Amino acid sequence: MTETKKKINIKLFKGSVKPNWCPGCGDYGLLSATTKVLAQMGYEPHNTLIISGIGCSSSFPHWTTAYGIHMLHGRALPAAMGAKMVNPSLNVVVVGGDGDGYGIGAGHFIHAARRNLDVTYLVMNNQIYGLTLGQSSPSSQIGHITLTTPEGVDERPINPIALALGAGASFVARGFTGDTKHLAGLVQQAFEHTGFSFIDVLSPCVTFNKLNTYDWFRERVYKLDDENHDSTDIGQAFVRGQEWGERIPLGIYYQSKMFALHQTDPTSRDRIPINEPLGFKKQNISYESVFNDFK
Amino acid sequence: MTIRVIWITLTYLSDDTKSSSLIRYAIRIGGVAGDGLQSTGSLLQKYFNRLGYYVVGHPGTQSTIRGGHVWQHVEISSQEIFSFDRPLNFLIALSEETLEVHLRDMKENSYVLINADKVKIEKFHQELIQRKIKVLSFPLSKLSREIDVKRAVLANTIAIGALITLLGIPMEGYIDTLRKRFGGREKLLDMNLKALDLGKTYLRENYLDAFVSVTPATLEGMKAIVISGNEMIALGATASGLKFLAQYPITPASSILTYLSNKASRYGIVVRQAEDELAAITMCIGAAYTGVRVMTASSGPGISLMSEAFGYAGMTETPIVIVDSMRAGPSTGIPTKMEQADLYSIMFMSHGEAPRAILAPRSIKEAFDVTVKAFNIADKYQLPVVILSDFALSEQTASIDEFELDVEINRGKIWTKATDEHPKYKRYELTEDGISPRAFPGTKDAEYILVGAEHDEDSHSLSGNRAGLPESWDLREKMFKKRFRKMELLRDEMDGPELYGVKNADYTVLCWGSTQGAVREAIDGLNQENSTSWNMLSFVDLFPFPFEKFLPFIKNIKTSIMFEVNYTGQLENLIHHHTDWKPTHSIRPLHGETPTPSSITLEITELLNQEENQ
Repeated sequence: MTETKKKINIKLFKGSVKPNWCPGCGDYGLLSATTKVLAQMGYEPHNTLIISGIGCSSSFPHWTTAYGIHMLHGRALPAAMGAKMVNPSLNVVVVGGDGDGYGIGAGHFIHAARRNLDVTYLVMNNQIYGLTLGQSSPSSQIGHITLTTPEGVDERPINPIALALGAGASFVARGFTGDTKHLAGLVQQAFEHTGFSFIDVLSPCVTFNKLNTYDWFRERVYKLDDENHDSTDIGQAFVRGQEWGERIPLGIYYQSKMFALHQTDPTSRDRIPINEPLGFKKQNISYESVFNDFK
Repeated sequence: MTIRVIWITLTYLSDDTKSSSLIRYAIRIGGVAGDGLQSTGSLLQKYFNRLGYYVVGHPGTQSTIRGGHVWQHVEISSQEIFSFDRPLNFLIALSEETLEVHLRDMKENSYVLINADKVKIEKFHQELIQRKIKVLSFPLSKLSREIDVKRAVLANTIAIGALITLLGIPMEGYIDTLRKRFGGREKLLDMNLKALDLGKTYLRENYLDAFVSVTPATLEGMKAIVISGNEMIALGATASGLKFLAQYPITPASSILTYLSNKASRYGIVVRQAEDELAAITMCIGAAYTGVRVMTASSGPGISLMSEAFGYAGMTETPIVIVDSMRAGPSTGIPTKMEQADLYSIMFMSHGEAPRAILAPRSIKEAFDVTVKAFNIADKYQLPVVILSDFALSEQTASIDEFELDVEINRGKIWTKATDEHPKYKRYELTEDGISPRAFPGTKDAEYILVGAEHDEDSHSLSGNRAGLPESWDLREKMFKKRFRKMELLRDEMDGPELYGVKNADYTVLCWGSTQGAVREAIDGLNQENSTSWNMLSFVDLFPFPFEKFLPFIKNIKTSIMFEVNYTGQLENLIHHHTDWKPTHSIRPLHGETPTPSSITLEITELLNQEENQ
């Protein structure tokens, strides 16, 4: 960038509406990390699109100044795909919770990953349904007593890291809102990555999850960078991806370079569809060629 | 078991006995899935079109990839036709089941060409003689093996060679059609040419006097195209500036996806196969928000899955075009048969109340214009628009003249920068007509969040901390009224029914969507046959229902019959809801077969006979 000297307004993406999250909610950490990184990297609100689903964390776009889609429950990723494919020049960020992404929207998660859709997907994983006041979620731990599991959760939790790796995601990471500096670093690397970048963000719910608290995580998390993890090795990534409980790795599990969907799509690979003329005539398509198929 | 006849051969339609030359000629080829019938049917239609005949094609398919019974109907005429019909002049039976199913449709003096290697004719002998049906017995499997042992589909080309020879029309056109089809693949072309010739020789050597005269073609060859309803919708969408199609495969909507997938780069459309229909429609919403024209297509089961997002599009005022190619429901129903039973489900799709529009093209030709209209309405009124097609319209083919592909595109109100009228951007600005300008990402000073929650003019949600506060009561009502003001404006833009025939007929048949062509031909027949006079009122624009445009017709309607392919009388009830008017009679066939002129005529005749007997 030639304008590196330009003064950065760190609050450029900070919205005027105050978040209605509980005081102490982990989601604040991701919100501030993301808005700061967006400003630092030189994005502007008019060319940034933040898309969410439904849940506490999905109110995220409303607390920013960017364009946004507060989509249906679980359907943020397909909406992001539509947006990115017709305007690849936008920076598209998808945010949501574990219920939204690993429950009702899990199908779209794996397909967005395998397509290598060029968006950043940030899941604020609090292992509980907060907006509906405390039911178990697909990532709730075995034994966790919630409104819907009086004897404790008896279904094994989803493993988002292994799921993303298995689905072919080209950037798989985990962050913790109790360490926003490290988290901001991951978010920046995710934005810099071309392709599907996914961060499972451990984001404690201070109101409904009394099990997986800030302290619970602080005792367990460690950084992959401190243990010579090779993030280009998918085998190692899968091994680290199995760690949970005693030790929880933070950082980039896996990253690889491959073409993003808009770079291979027969149409968007060489043009920005929203800027293209409409109809046969304006696209210089001869009528003869159109009709010839049907003769 | 008694087989209920759902069509009859009417004298006015079977012109063969009176005239030596046939104006209209109906050909059907039946066999098992995997016999290549669709491909043969397509070649045959292109050939007749090349010669200058009017052509209509109808596929009789099953949900089968191999085996089962499938057929392809090709009907040609030297005068314009509006539907295919059941009665047959020529049947190619590649399987015995073909005879069992289609023999009943054969006219007097018609021909059946059988594959003698597969079809045992003995049990049909008596009936064939009684009904004066002539048999051309060809050992098709053996003959095709003589050309190439591995290519059983050459049997079709042999049969076509015989058919063309029987009709005494030029073979060159078919050779040209084959050449275009197999362009470059010389070996395949050569085998097919041999097969064509073999058919000709075998017919002449064994059936010296077999000959049928069809009246010469009246159109200039190569001026028309043969196209399906789905392809017309795809062309209409491209002409309208479609930039994004997301779709999940389903019969009978898949061919929109396959056609446009193959044209994506050339037509400048991002075409993506979604993981399910929920993804397909929400991808469209994302792309529409970003600023392009979008479309998705499906059939009943997939449309049902789109329900929640359909409401979201209505609430957020996002323009999307959805094609519902109706098939027989409910649930899986009969996937390869037509029905007109989704009108209600689209009218009421999704919870709560949200605006929408529904258009039902009445012919392949009209499907283009209706699609163009759908896109303009979607953008102008910022709502989801559903094109109600059905199996018959989507998968049928017809010859139509080349037409203008350049259309008027109205993208509606779009905000790009501050103006005197709209100094500050508000996505849901409360305007007199209920329509507020859209702005697309990339536009400065217009950033807003699209939200399915009730919202204020700036698109701030009223669902969270503002829910229930007095300021929200008023806003909620204002926003609701805004969304529905658009519907009243839109109603004015909806076309009323079209009258076909004389104004004051004794009988009026009312119909909508794809059955129009067959009803029209039935009316023509009834007018010729009876001393009574008949006319037709057919509807395209269904919702919001243009009742004011229907009212003037009521005073001229004497005895009326409402014809629609569903159980509950969906359009009939919609009309009644708005006008209090009810038809004298209703015909709602549920046999699953596409209504044809003769099936409709039979149903009408039976209905009137019952009336007389009462």
